[in-house]
Amino acid sequence: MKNLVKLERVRLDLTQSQLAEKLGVSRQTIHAIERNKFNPSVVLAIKMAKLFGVTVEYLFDVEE
Amino acid sequence: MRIQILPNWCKKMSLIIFLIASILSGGDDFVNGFNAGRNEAAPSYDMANATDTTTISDLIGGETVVNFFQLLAILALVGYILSREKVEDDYLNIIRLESYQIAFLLICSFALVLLIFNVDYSYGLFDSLTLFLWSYLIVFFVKKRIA
Repeated sequence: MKNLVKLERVRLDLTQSQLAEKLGVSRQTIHAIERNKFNPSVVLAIKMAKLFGVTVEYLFDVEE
Repeated sequence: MRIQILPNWCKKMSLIIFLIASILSGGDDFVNGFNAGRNEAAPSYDMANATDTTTISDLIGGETVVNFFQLLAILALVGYILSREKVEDDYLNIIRLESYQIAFLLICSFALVLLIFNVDYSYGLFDSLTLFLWSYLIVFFVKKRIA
């Protein structure tokens, strides 16, 4: 699953630690999501989409 | 299932207790091993005989106290494993699970190698436990750092 988390995080000028703190997760989790090593839970994906002001479908997309 | 039932501050405390207990309980073995290696490398200078034979075991009160520190070291590591991270989430749980799996495979491999190459070596429960806990800690630490 590819995602635009890094792009959106940079757009909001946030560091991985700042984003992690806002979402209540560890910095390692944000790093793993950005590197496509970990697929977040539905709850975390929705939280991220809300924080970035975008839709979940825009933020996360399944690779064909 | 989450087994991290202790608060985060227990982690640091457990680590400190573990380090102190390990040094006190394993110090003599380390010195003996070091001397044996040194004597093998340079037989003309026998360090074991040349140095004072006072051991940590003598200083802290004998074999029973050393055994107590061994037990304390294991309990401290268990305390470390049962302590929560500052932030607990799904990803850390996955890393933790993978670390348990790798640690288990490591002790199984170690036991297999010992059985194949040195059938006389007694690989006891205490050795397995210590190796498992150490392996888990190192693997979890490394996986968390490189994540």
